[in-house]
Amino acid sequence: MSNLTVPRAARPALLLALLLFACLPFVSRSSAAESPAPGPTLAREDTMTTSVPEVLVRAPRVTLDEILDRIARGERRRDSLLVDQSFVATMRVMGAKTDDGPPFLLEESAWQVYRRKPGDARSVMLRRTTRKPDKPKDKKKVNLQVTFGADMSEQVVNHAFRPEERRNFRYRILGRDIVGGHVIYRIRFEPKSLLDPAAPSGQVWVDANEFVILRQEVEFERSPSPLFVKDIDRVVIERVRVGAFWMLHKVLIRAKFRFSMPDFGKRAEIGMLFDRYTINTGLADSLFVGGEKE
Amino acid sequence: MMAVRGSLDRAAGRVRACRLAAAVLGGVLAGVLSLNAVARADQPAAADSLLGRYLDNLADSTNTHFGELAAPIDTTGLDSARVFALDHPERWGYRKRHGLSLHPVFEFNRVDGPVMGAGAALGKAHQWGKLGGDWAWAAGPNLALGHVSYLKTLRRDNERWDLSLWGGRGTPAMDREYERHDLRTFAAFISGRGREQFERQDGVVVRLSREGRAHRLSAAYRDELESPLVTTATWNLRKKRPEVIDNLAASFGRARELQYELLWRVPKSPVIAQLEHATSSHAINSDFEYRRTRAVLGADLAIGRVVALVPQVEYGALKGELIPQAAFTLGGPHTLRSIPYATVGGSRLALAKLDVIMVRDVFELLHLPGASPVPVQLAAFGAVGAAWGRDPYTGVVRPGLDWPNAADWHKEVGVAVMFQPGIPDPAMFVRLNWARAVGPSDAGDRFTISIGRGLDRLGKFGGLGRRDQE
Repeated sequence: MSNLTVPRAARPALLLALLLFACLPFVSRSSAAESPAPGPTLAREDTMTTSVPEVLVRAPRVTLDEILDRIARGERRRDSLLVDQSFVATMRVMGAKTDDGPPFLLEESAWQVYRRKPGDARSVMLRRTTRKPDKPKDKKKVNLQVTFGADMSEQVVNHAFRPEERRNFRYRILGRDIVGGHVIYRIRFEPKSLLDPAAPSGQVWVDANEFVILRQEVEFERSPSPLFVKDIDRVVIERVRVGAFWMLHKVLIRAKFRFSMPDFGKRAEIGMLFDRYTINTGLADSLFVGGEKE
Repeated sequence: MMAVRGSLDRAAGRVRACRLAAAVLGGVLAGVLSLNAVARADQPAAADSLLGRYLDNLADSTNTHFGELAAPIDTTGLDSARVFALDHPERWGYRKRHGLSLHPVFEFNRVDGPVMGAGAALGKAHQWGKLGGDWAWAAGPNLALGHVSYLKTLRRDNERWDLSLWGGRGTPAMDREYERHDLRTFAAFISGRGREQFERQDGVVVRLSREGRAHRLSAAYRDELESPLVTTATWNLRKKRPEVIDNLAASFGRARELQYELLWRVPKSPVIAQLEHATSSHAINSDFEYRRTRAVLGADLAIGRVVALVPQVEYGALKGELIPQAAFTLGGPHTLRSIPYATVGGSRLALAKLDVIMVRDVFELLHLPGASPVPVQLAAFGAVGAAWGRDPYTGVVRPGLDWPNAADWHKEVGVAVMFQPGIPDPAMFVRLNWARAVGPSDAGDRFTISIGRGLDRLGKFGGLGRRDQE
């Protein structure tokens, strides 16, 4: 190993030289940036400018509280105008062997449902399809039993926006979309309490013309039952326009299990589809005689 | 040949150009016509179609996400199926379910020993009512225990009415704020753990409750013979010496009591208030003369989406006859965790406690890989409380009328590891607590395991006025 010695007098000069050498790349890079690069260049048009005059909006902006009040009123009005209804409800239950595997149908049943205020309801099963067991000796275990009450207020859609629930949720406006002549508010709701993992949060789309909820996406921040359910991936609730009313159209739920559950496997998917509505047609009394009443 | 092909190509090119021009023109024309049509047609129709398209776009992504689940139904044959089903209601008709359910009964405590039997329930509370009953044999005193109960629930709009009738013989703990759950039976049976003091109650209880949007009001009347019990079983599976052997003697007599409860969500605040009052008087032919009042305030506050603050304040007073079965108890997992349960009591109680709970899974917050089936939550807590008046457990009289002496206050701090299993109540916690007494107290560090809700001193909405009894 050799020792390199520098005379004491030459040390400042050497230090300066090293410093200059270290700065060289930056100097060369900046000079390179100033030189025009080969190929097409971007031309900027800076002779045409325009400005939009400021508009002072004097109308008071609708507050969130007022929107929530109007939603409650809109939903109540919608419910009050419904006298009777009939629809076909399809319940679809699916499972999957793995988290991301293809789903298989466990059961699908279609029901004709009649409802009439104040308290009549009748559901008639139209069709039922079940999965064939893997082995002939296996017994079918999933047996979906559905009953429909007479309530037409569709709490599954507006549960977080009912007056009695307002104190339990925190709301904020995520955005406003102008669609044709409609203003669609997107409103986020979250439970105020953190202690109950079963309390959902989510987002609703509200039509400002009628202040009726058109669509809802629900999520759970934590699994409501972590021992069995890994997470509830997504819950989507859709409404569809039927005449003058927005009616429940779809409820779609997907949940993943921690373990492979009997029949379902690692995932459960539940779909409820509501279709072929007739509203306020004056359902006959005979429809509510016999059958299953709730 | 080449010339012919070239002319054909040119001709084809002209034709394509003509078609393109025609298409562009057609498109422009159609656009103009449609604009005119839009101008002429009702404005809402166009707006609605745009709204429909907007919602369809949202629905399309949903349908893609859910795949087959969201597929439209096959409507073939549904009309004829409906006609057939209406004509033949019995074809698909359900057999009406009466809701009969059977369940085993097993309990274990040191006064009854093993209690084994069975129970049944029939019907639904919101229909004709739910009729239930248990019968079990208590091996210690060689006695049959059991009850018959009926519960009827009426719901109307935002109101709920509950009527409950209960009659029979039971062995409740002498603590009205006691939360009963199977873990206590299990601990007593396995290793003799359990500090509850028991009494016998024979009689009936009638309770009527009305619950609205923000309140519950309930009134009850009970007529029960209350009698003391002695220890009959000191054994357990691990053959350990029971934590407590003797059983505190209850005052014997017929208790006729009126009970009132108000549970109220205080408007424009996160506070829930509960006021309970029970009165037993010779005027209603009771053997006891006392007034028992208890007030609790609690709140569930969120800080961000991770931390929950749960403060609770409680004050209770028993005036008149100081019978042990109506006294207040301090200590245990739901009051002061650094004091063993049922060692400090009195005719008055004051308690303030604060839990700070990190509700998210610790492993998730630390970004550790893998989702755990047991999400672990952490909590810190502090509490201060006092019980004064005549202590039913020791006989000591602690001075103080409406407020205790400074020396009788117990303070504690601690931490807990928690888990929310989600069953049977989603808001229920299983907690492993470490509590340390603060100040001049003979209580030291204590580890406890407990089950309960965050707001464990308050009653729960959605049922009868009784505290939740898992």
